[in-house]
Amino acid sequence: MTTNDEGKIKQGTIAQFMRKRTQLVGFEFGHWKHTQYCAEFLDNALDAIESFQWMELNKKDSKIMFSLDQDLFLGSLTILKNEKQLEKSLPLSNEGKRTLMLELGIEQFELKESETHLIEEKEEKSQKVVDKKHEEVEEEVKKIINDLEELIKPVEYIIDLEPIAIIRLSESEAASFLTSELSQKNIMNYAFEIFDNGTGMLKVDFKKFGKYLASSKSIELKQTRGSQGFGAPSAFSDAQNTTGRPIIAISKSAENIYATVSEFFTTSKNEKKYIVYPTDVDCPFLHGTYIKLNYLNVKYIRGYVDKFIEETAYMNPHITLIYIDPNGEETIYKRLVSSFPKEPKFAKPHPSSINIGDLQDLLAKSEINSLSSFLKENFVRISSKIAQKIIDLASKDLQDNLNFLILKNGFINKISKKSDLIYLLCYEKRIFGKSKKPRDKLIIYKVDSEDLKNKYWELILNYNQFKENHKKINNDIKKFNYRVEKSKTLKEIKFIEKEIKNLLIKIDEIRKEKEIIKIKLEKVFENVNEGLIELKKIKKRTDFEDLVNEVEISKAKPIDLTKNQYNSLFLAFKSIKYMTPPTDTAIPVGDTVLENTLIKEIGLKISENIEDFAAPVDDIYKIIDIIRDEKKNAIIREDPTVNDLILNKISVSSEEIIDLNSKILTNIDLMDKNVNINEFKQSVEKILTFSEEELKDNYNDVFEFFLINYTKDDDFVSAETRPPTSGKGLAYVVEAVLAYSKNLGTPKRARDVLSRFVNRTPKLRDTADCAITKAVQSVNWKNYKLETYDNNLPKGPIKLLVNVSGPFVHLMFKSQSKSALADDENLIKEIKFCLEAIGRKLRIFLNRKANMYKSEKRASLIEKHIPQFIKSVYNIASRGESIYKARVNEKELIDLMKKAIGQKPPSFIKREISQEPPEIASPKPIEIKEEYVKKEDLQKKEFAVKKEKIIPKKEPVVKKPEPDKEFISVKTLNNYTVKELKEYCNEKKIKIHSKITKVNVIKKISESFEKKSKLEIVKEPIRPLPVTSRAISVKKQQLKIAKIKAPASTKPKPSPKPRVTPPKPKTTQTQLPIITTERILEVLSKEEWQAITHLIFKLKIKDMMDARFLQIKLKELLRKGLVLENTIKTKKHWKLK
Amino acid sequence: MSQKKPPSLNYDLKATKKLFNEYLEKGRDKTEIKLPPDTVKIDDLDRNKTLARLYKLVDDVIEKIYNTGRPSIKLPSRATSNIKWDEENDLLLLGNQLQEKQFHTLTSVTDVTRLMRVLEIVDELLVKDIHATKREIFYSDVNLFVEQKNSDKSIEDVATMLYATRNSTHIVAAPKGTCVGRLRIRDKNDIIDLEGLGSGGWTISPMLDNIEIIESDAEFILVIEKDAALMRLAEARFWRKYPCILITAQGVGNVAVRMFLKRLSRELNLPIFSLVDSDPYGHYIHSVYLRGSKRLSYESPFLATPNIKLLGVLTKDLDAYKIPNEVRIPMNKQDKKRVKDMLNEDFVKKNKKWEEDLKLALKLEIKAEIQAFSAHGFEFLTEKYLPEKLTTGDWI
Repeated sequence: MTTNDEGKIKQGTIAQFMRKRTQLVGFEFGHWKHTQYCAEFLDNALDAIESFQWMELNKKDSKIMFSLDQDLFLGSLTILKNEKQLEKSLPLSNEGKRTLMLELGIEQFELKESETHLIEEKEEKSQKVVDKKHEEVEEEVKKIINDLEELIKPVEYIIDLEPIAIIRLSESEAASFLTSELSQKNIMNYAFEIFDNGTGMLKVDFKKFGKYLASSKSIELKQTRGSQGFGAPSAFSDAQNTTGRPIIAISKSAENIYATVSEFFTTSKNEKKYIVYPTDVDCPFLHGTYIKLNYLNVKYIRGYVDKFIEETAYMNPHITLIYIDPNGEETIYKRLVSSFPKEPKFAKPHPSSINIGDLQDLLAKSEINSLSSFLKENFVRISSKIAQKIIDLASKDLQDNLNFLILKNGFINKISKKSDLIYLLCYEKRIFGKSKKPRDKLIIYKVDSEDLKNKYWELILNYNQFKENHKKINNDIKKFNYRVEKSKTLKEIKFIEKEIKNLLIKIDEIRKEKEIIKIKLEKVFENVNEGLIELKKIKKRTDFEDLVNEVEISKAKPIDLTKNQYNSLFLAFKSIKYMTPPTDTAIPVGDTVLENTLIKEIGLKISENIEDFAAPVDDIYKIIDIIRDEKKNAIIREDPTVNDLILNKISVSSEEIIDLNSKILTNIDLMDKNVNINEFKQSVEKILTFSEEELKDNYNDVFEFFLINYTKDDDFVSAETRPPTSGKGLAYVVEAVLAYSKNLGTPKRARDVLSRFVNRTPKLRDTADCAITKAVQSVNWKNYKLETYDNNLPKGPIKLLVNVSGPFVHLMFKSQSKSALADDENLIKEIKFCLEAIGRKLRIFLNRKANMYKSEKRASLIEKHIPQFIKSVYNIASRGESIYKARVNEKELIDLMKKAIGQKPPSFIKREISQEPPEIASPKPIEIKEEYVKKEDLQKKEFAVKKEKIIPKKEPVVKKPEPDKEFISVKTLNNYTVKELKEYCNEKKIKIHSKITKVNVIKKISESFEKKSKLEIVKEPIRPLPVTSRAISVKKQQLKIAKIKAPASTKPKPSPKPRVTPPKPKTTQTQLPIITTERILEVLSKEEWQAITHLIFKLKIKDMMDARFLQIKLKELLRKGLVLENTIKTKKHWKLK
Repeated sequence: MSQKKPPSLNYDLKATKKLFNEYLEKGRDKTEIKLPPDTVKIDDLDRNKTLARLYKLVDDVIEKIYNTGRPSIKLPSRATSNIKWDEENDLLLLGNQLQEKQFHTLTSVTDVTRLMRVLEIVDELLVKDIHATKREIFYSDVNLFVEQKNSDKSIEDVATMLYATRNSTHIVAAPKGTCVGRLRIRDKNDIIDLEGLGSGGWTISPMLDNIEIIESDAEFILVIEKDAALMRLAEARFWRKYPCILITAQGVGNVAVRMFLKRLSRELNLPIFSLVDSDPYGHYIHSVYLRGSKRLSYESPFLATPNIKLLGVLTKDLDAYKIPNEVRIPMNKQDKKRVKDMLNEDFVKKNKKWEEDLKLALKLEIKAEIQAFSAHGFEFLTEKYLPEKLTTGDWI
């Protein structure tokens, strides 16, 4: 085949290469292929939607951006109900068959040159001329539009308001002639459709779409999902390779009135072969893209595509996702937040990430005239000062390398032997050539005078010496760097780094020395007239001119740099330290958003901000005061002349307090549907009635009850976003979120625990190979109370999402299929820190949970033992001579003890509210039956003392709450430690010695109390409290309580609103009264069919929104039956009825 | 058997007799033991007094339930920190730290319930005036006690709770020890002559309140660690030649044996010697007779016999009596640790001879059993070793 002329090596194209190796991008047969299709196009869709919104946000008053404040009512949405039967695989058109066979290599691929030409010509033609007849095309377009409309019909009313992406996968029997040659079984035909209302494509771009390496994102690195334009073309290749059917694409950008539709094949020549040439067509959305293609693959099963979309939804809660799977099931992931993430900036390369090839490329492409502005323009963190420094360094290096020094007033060559000729070059004003005015001319002198020669040689000798030193030091640095790599201990590395630093300082010194020599040289040759011989005709003149040009790097154009120049430039470029790259190129999802998303998507139960709801405030403590004040005010209102005595007598009963407390409680009660109301009320009542005696602790009990009741079944979710950092000169940011919920269940497989995301895109494949996985494995999960799988991934009822965002990741993918990140020490460390921060929170949560469980267990264990204990007590008491023999009652005792469960033993001094005098005043020694105690004097005494202390209480005294008087009994005081008692004394200003004994303290306190109580009855101070403020504070508290109870409600935590709240499109109707129904009807004629462009012209519409409104209006008129619609050449035309 | 007669006939037990006479002269020690002020006083009570204390305790509990619903029980702490060595009386005693067991805490709810259950049983035993063993108590409520060590602990706690000896609670240990020799006792209505019980001897009854010591013409009491050694002595009718009473408890003396020994010591006022293995455990057994065990420290005044002497087998005896290497056993790690622990005890430090012997054992790192003397013939123990030691007064 080959002739000598052609040679043996043939130039292939990237398209040719990739077409047959779609597996490189993840398109091999298998379950993952479904996901890969989905991933490629969903990525593009999400990128498109985001870039649309960002674009509009940047405009001053965009009317068409997504308004994100509307609520979504997608509950009744079904796309699939009216789905029509997918047409059975049609026999392929000849065109299709041929392309297919070519691509599959069934037909001989290599064509003779002449033939290739023919085909090329044909392709050329086919791009311009529509092969098919108009009618056929129209029919085809109509079908396509129908498909599209069917898909988006249910969401039509929000199609321009809501960021939305729809994916539909439908299954049909594959044609047998396609599957017969495949070894896999169970191969089906799948139609893949995706719609997004993203930015859409301009017609120009649309033509490029589908070609390899045609991408809007590859030029500059940005935190986007897609990057280089491999995904979609590979998908197209695979689709047509397996089914031989063309790809359908519709796209419309907001600037265009018509959408563009086309149906095409892509070829190995990286060209498109159109079945339907890009045609303008009416479509029901303002902007967006629709793609439909068919591919063969193994039968769809769950767990791949659906999981991918679910995980995508976790990380992209700002976009609504709808997915219809081949089984006809519909999943809707509603938008959950009301703002888009910030737009990441384009990332210019950071100098530290550049290698010499990159620099060369950039230089070659550059159209900038000066080197310094080239550096500034193309890199981050290069200011003009730094650029100047780079060029300076480069120039110095260049002078050394070229042995040609730049002096102030000229140039001089550097000789290495004394016998060499010394040339001095300088620009002088001379008249030469045709012009008669003096112009700069490079004059070359030869140094002739021995004196000058000697002086020069002396200096140059020094200079050369320094140069040698410089070289030596550079070598040393190299050696040290090598040693750093080899050394293991940190100490060693630090030592070597110090050495290197010293050497660098030396280099700086040498540079300075060299400059000094140069200045001396300048002085030597300054104003020297004698001893120089002008060489007028020298053969090497052009060489010298080139040398001058080369050495003056600061004046060179970036595009024209010579090899020496860019070597020096690169050296200088790399030897400077730069600031770390800016981090605004990496935009995280945000921890609050992540938490909220998981709460909603998984359905976690989280009581909101229990921490905010602090311990009871003083106001509530003084609940009695509040009620009393209110009562007082009520009386004053009725009778302002009421005297103080009556006011003093106002009392507050415990019922009133219970009443108020239950009001607070019922507020909370109503909001949680999960609580069994009866049970709840009972337990609340229990708390309230039991704490009768301790009015002031009432609130405490209630509060604790809530805390336990509401957080008991709580799930855990915590997200952490690390501050952005950089690697390889590009920024990235790590974030993670972990949910812990019993409802999640512990997955059997380790990989189901962790979900990896890169730039918000889920990565489902190659889990073990990914840096994220390794980072998760490196965490010691046992520290955070989590078990682990064998591979050290955390195990438990958890879900862990890790996302790495930023332009950095594009450099880190291990393969074109972008499913795993390469290892990077810092990246792994970042992720580890992030996870550890979450781990710490989890540990607190799990500990708290364990404590709760323990206290529950405790209660049950204690309760279990009560009957047995009481039985023993009862048996002893009833059998023998106990003083309680007559009246002991088993059941009563059991009840008393059960009630005491869960109550804390008194930990602070409780003031017993009682009208009775202190108990010390009336000790009632009981009679002790001691007949059976015979003569044992000593013991008798001992017992007598003991028994005296017993103060029998026939029944628990229900004391009426009377806050006016407070008493402390000796008995209760005995329960406290000396320290507590002393504190109490300080508080009450009872004088005590610092080394007082317990008994004495108690005495003092009880004495002081007796006094006090007497006094207080006389002059009980009335505290006039401003009732209003009290009432308000109560209300505040109520509100606060109500707030904690909004846990499961779908209200997200406050998230930033979009900067501009755009008016909804509908409101434009009132703003632009020009386009009224009457006006439209006026413009329409009865005879002539008019396309929308005509109408726009006639109505003088200049705004895209108006055009859109016109479309809607026309549709409305059509429905009313006022106008007629007809499609001529794929475009809708209207006329009056 | 070898016909070689050891020169045993000449032993006159000079030293022992001297001690016996000393005791006799001093007369019975009638002075009450004065306990240090910061220790708990335990009483050996009769039924009714115990019952009175018990009802008082229950009344306290019921009162607490009526008042707060949260009963608790206070009892002297039996933690190691609260066990004190009374130097004067050479006894281990319980300090007066109190511990309060709350019913409404997870840690002590089971304890308190068990305590109350044991208290209930004690009440029943006392009311009916019968005795029960620890094992029986455990089987009365296996579900509650789960393991016997739990019920044993509760039994001890109940005794301290009542500030009474365990005997007062009518809970007794299982019969374990044996006594034989020149002693006559009465067990309720039976008079038993311990000389005429063959080589088996009399099993020491745990119900000591039924036992009455009638008479004895013994000159000393020998407490033997091992059954086998006792058998050897009984077979040789050791007490015929040297008037004595032999007691063994088959290991550490249980409450019954110790109490019986204490009774003998108090009523007969005889020198008491112990013959134990030459190993740390043997020394420990001796120490338990000497000043009580830590676990039952509260009852020490009723159990310990502070005048007991350690006759042998001492470490230095191994060389002195040329015990061959074959029967010497090297010490293991645990043994060494035990010896070191013993050396840290105050009562050992005070006794220079004892300390010396233990240090020697630690240095040589060997131990030996009583049976090691069999290497010189089976009679060596009875014919040579014991008489010689008793004559020379070579004891600790």
